[in-house]
Amino acid sequence: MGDRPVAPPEVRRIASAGLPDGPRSIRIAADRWPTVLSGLRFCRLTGFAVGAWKDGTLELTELQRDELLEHHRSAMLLALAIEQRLLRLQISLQAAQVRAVVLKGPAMAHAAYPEPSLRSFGDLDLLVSATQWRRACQVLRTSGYERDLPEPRPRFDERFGKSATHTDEQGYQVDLHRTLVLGAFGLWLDPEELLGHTGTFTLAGRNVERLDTTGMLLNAALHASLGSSPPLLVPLRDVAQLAHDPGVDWGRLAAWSARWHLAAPLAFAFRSASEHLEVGLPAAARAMAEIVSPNAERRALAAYTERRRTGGLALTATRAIPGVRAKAAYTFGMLVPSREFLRARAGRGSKPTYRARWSVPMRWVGRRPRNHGTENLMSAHSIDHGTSE
Amino acid sequence: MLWRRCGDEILVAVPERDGVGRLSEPASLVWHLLDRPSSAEALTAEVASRFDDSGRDVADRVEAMLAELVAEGWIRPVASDG
Repeated sequence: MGDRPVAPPEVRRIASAGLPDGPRSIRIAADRWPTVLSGLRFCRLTGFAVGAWKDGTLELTELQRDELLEHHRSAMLLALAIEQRLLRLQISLQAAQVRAVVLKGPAMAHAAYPEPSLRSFGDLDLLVSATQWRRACQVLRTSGYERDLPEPRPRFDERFGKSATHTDEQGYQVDLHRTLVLGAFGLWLDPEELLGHTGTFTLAGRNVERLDTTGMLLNAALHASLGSSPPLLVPLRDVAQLAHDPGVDWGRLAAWSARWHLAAPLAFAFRSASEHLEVGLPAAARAMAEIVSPNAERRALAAYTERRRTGGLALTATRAIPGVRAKAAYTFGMLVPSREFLRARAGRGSKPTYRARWSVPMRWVGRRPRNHGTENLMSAHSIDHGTSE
Repeated sequence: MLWRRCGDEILVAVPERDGVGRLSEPASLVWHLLDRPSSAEALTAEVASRFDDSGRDVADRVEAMLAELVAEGWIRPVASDG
């Protein structure tokens, strides 16, 4: 686990408020309030702070309360705007016979927590089957969303991609997912099987499909352990919240973990949730946290937590892709993407050249510590994936 | 209806159009009371009791709030069983 703290200690305590083992009383020194408020806002934790204040766990002055509520109002306005878009998209997707399952955000707020205003979110994540990927992209396009980055090569998305971010005119984003996470773990797991285990939540009187509780816990744990390093507090809270949910099928989670090589990131997520939030977890979660995972999984996990910026993700993805032809297709897609992709990646003011793209892995090689210097130049695959890959 | 609690306020929105309404007390109390269908008379009695206000204008204010909530599309009148 990384040594850097994920947030100020007061913010971490607030993130664990309401959990069975969470704090009973939280006081914030007056001189710490600006830092804490900024941390709550930045980490999207204002809902937990409001909840803790309402149930008497968090002591606030009137001024502090008003400032907190002002930030929380902004967070809730965003959440509602996203849910409006979700419901409109649901109609368009259903009309096109595309089945989309909501990941994280609204699904977590409505299905995992006693009160949706506890859980803030900033975008919409939808999981679709690879077989419906094209149609789903088309629906987003006709609904006014533009894809941020084009596909690197034809059919790259369905074979190797994780998600594609689409943005509407007002800046609201939809992440269309083919799998849950980037890199090796996202390639090892089977999203089609996840789509076979779903539930629903109710939004404005309509049923919206989500992963079932076990799938939600798996997704939260992968997001916590692989989404960023050090782990973010919201996914850690999601992990702790769902770990206490009686709806989790721990046997199925263990089976998925073994079959999809996910023991290392699951163990890391449960350990991180318990350590950062300073709470106990149920026995089944503690048991998974203590599993000694195989070396290959630990190496893959290190690619996310320690070598993320030096090409670790792409390198482990290459290793995870079965078959020489598929590996070659992935490598070619990464090294020689379409001109359109290059232009989009380069952005304004930069020249879209293959040479510039290839220089990225060369820099990684240069930056790599000596003990990793033995990795061969095929780590040139490790070009930054960006959001679409 | 889409809605969120924010302290004593309720933020409410309809899926069909952009924009979010903000209900502060006593409108937020009326919103909560309408979690189950209720008559204007029952709502008035509840609001009067919660705010310790037995003035005759409470009924008028509740009627006005209900009319506004209906106009915005945030609540829908239903036929009474009786």
